[in-house]
Amino acid sequence: MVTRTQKFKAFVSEPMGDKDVTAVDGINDELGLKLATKGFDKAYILLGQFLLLKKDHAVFQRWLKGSYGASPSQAQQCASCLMDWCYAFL
Amino acid sequence: MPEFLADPSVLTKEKLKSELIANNVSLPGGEQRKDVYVQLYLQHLTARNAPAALAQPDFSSDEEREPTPLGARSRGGAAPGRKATKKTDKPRLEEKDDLDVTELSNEDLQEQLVKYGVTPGPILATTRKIYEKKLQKLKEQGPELGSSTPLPTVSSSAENTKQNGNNDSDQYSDNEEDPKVEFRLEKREPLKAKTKTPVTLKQRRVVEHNQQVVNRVPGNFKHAAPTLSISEFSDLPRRTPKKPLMTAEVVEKTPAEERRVERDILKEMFPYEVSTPTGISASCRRPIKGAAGRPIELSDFRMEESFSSKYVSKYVPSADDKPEKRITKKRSIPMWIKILLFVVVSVFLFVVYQSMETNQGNPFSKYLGVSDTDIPTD
Repeated sequence: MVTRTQKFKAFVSEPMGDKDVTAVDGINDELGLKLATKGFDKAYILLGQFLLLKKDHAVFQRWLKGSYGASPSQAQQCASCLMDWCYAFL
Repeated sequence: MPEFLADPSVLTKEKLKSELIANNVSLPGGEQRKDVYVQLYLQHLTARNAPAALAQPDFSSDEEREPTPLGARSRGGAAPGRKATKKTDKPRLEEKDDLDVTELSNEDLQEQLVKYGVTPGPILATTRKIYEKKLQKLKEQGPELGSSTPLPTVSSSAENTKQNGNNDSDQYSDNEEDPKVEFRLEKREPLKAKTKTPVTLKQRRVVEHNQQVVNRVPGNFKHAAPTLSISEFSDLPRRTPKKPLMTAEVVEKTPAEERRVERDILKEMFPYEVSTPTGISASCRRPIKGAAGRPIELSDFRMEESFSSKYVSKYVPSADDKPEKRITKKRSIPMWIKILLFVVVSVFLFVVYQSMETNQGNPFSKYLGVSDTDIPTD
């Protein structure tokens, strides 16, 4: 079982509401800033992109890595965080 | 001999590729951006079209290659159009690049939108077109914002309602919740677009009706905008109340007053309809059984009734008058059915009870004067 970070648990435990994109697990400040400048300043917008890609882990990770220079682990964490949130709330 | 286009950006990428292949032009491997194919098209095909233009491809290719690193950020159709038109439309382009919003890169589009006070969400392939349209509308409205808004045609009334909102507060969307509101507004625009045509058709009737209505309505509505927006409310069928109500939210000018007056007008028009906040009213259902202290009657055990009773229980306040009358009439009939059913059930239970008895003597001995016989202790 993969040990989940505190951030992950905090994000998945409640509806994301208006949280910043940096609240998503795997998104650090730097990546969050890059996303925000492109318009992804809130977590729900990133969720939107995730959903647009039909909740496909691999595609989402590829997108995140390709467009915003995320590391593979970051992308992986982000994708699984969003996926789990969707399981819980969507 | 087919003539080749001077402006290949009008073609889709696929067409460009097929044209190039058809003319034995080698394509670069893999999927390239459209401008790559446009370049090739221009170099090879447009050159063939006009032999005098042979010098141009070299010239243009130099020009075109320069901005490619700059244009590399842009996606799809933005850059090629720019390059293609550069030769012919230099003076026009020098004025303002964003006269044609489709030529803007994603970042430029975002900047332009920010200039108008709109904070767009991410501009991606999916959202780009929406933002282009929005920018176009903003630019059309921009020069008009200075003058008053007389609303010459109803077709622009939908936009003008937004304009009025702009006049009151600089932005028709809150700063804090921009992305959400933007998308909501985006959805409203297509809705408005749909409602535009019916409104224009009914314009004359609306104007006449409005004159009558306006006379009766207190003088808040000397502005053209609210009257026409109300006319939209009144004219649009009541079954689609959400659209006008949504537009009312956009118009920040005294929405509460408008709604009040709207309701007055609507009450005049539809006196028999129940007034609810959303304008949606359910049709009158069967009387509510088992709610508000009414006795549950035997007919309730039927499937239909049970569903309707659950559903209708929400509408108890509005439906109070009618069911009471109905129930008072029906009370007399089911009463004896109830008693009968009770008797039947009790007899049934008695029989079952007896059948479980192991020490079975005369089952009726208990009740025939024999006291203290074996009573099952199960």
